[in-house]
Amino acid sequence: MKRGIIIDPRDNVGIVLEHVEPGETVDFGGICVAARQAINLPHKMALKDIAIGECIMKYGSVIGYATAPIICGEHVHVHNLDSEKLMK
Amino acid sequence: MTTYQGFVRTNGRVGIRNHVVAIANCSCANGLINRIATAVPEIVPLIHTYGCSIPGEFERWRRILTGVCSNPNIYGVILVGVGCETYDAKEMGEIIHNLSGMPVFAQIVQEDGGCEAVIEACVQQAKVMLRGASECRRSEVPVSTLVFGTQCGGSDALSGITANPAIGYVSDWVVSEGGTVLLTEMAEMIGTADILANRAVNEAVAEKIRRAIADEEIEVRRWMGPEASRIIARGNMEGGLTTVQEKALGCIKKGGTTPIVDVLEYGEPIGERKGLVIMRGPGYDPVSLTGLFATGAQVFFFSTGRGNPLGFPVAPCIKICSNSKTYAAVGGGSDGDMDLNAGAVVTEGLAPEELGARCVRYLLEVLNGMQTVPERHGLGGALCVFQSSTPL
Repeated sequence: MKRGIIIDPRDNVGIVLEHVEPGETVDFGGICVAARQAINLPHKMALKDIAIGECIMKYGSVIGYATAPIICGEHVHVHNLDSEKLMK
Repeated sequence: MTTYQGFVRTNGRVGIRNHVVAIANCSCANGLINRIATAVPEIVPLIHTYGCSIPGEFERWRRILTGVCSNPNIYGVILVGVGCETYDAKEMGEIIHNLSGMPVFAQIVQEDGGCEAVIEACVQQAKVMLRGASECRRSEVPVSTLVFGTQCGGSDALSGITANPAIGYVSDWVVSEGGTVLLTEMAEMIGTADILANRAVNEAVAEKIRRAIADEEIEVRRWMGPEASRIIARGNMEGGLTTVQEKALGCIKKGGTTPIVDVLEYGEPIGERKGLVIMRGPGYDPVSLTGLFATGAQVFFFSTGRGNPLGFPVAPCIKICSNSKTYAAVGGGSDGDMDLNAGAVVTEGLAPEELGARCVRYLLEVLNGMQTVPERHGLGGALCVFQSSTPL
């Protein structure tokens, strides 16, 4: 079991604190999620399925929205998360 | 009330270092500054690229030059002008002396006998100032005399979880002691306007915060277009940061949790303000540190995830690493690049409060004279000043 952290209970992504390989389970303080891809620390992993356009939450705040459908356990980064529409 | 041993200046401000500096009134005189520093290696040359021919920047340069040179970490200033630049070096020297009360020696190449004569006069005066500086003694002063600058550079996704909250702990402690804390890097506040405005002491300050962040968003959009959300460096992305809002939410942790009392312009003098203050300025680290120093900061706490080596030439810059992997890669302590490892929160189960308390103890040692890693290794670098227009 690899270690992870959820910063705020409202978040839908967690941070992996160790490198994980596909299929390995990450324990986010009691919430356990299996990684669908290799994820480097300290990158983000989806804690649930997230629909396209849905907000991505970290620190209990919006950091952007999903630009592609995201499945629980997926790596969340530039390929499926952007915040351009939030900006002036 | 916590105290430390500082250098009390004639204007009442307190230095934690006691440098003699040489600086060009206009960058055309940088060669002379290098010659003076070669002849008297105990002084610190402040090399920069400003001082003339950038009409949009004249007022800002005046503020930065006078702010930097009157910072209480500086005992004395050798100021070298060429003669044909925008501001008269001797007038600038007088302004600096009136602000700081400290020795200033200004020379002008075109009025004072040419380069060799000016260098010789400056070398002699530098030696006199160094003797004066060596007679300064530290005395006991309260932490309320401190202006504490915060900075993050080469951030990764752990910066906002380990190192920046540790700096925030120090910020809260400085404010609780009656001191001043500076939070800056406007690009790294994008997306946090509501959070920060809610912490303002009154509606006028809240409005200043919203305005400053909105201005920055417009500026970022102007330069970056549809890539506006990615105004983060390649290393930040490799470190797990995806959007500017995500980086910002981690960045603002450095300011701690106290109310925000004001918003200052880049390098605007801090005056008598106490508590947490925002200084407008860019996220680019060397430019940001120069603004913070000109505003009045005597010391910086600088977090990094990727291992940024930057220091500042005349102020201690405490380097705190966000993760143990980078800390192992670039090293810590006497022969490494980092002062402290916040990654221990993740890898060694160190309690965040214990890390924060450790950072406060480290800061106190630095205030009392202990050198930081960038000071020990001579990693001060150049004076980099924010500029929004081009030379003509």
